[in-house]
Amino acid sequence: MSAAVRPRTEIRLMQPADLKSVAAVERAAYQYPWSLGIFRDCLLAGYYCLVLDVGGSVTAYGIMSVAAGEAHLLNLCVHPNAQRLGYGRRLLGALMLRAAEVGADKIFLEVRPSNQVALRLYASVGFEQIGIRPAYYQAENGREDAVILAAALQTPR
Amino acid sequence: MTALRDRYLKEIGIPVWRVRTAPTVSAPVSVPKEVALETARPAPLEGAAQGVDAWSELQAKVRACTLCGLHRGRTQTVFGVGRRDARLFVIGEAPGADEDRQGEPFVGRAGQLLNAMLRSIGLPRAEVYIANILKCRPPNNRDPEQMESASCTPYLSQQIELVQPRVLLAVGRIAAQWLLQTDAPIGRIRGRVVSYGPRNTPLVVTYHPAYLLRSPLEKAKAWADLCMVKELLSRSS
Repeated sequence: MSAAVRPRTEIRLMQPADLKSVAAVERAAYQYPWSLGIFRDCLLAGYYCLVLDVGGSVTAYGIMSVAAGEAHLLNLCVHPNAQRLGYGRRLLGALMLRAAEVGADKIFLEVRPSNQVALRLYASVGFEQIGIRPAYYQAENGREDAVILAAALQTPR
Repeated sequence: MTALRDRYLKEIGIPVWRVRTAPTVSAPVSVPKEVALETARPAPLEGAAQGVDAWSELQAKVRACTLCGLHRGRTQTVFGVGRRDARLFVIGEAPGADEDRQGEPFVGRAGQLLNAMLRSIGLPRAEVYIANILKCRPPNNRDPEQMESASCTPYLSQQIELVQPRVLLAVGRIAAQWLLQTDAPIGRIRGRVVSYGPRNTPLVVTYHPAYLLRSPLEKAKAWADLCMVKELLSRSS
């Protein structure tokens, strides 16, 4: 009974077998989603990719690259039907912990200024705005800026 | 006058309640539909024999379980009840005093309300499968402890796996928070459909009938949740 329902949530490394589920969550969550190929490339590039799996169903994920002492959060996404349950915060915590473990002292990300929920989450864990990338995102009526956020990471003892 | 009042009530979002007709009147309406659905379903295949083994094995395991301390205070285990090929699987919290005595989940006043809730969407109790997160009664009906749920829920997982329901309905905060592993209040968890488990089974969360007995005003929301269940079931038939 290996495929049994597991009534628990776990955060684990993304596997190639997760790509279809991840891409499905991505499509449900974003108006301009990444393709499955982009996620595959993230795995191949060795980015740190986590999924949050609820009872055996991929529900959220985060993708981060770490290089030269800096971490860059490339994607953090929770299925729309599973938002506001604390999953994004939990994934973000796991990603930041990992970044600190592998020696990064700073983490950066871009976010749409219209994404209030995400902005509140990032602010609550210590992210601060350090700049704007004009017309960074595709948007319904033209382009949307990206807000650049950064947070200092605590080096684990 | 009533037409005008009804219109105003509708405008401000208050559903108009009507006295329920006797169940004998409504029953013939829903029963043929259920029967029709039943005949349309494929008969249990050769897996049935093997299924019986799996069920009785699981039942025996639960009956003899001593994984957590709750076994010391139980009169008997409360395994679960209902159709083993049910389309709806209802997940509750833990047995109370009545359940512990009778060995069946949801038999007290809350159970009667659950039956009425299920009947309201055309599902007699006998048509669904009902089981709890915990198979033994916690003393004084206290909340289950983390370790108790952790050691008991593999049984529930296997029950879900054997039934392979189309829809899961979690009733109450404890069941919902455990299944989704979240601290969010039930008012925030309910009102949505979450994909659950390796089969991406739709999971709906609603209030526990015991809570609805204390807070009848929340029944409107529970009704909305049940309508969602009905909709999901009709979509998956």
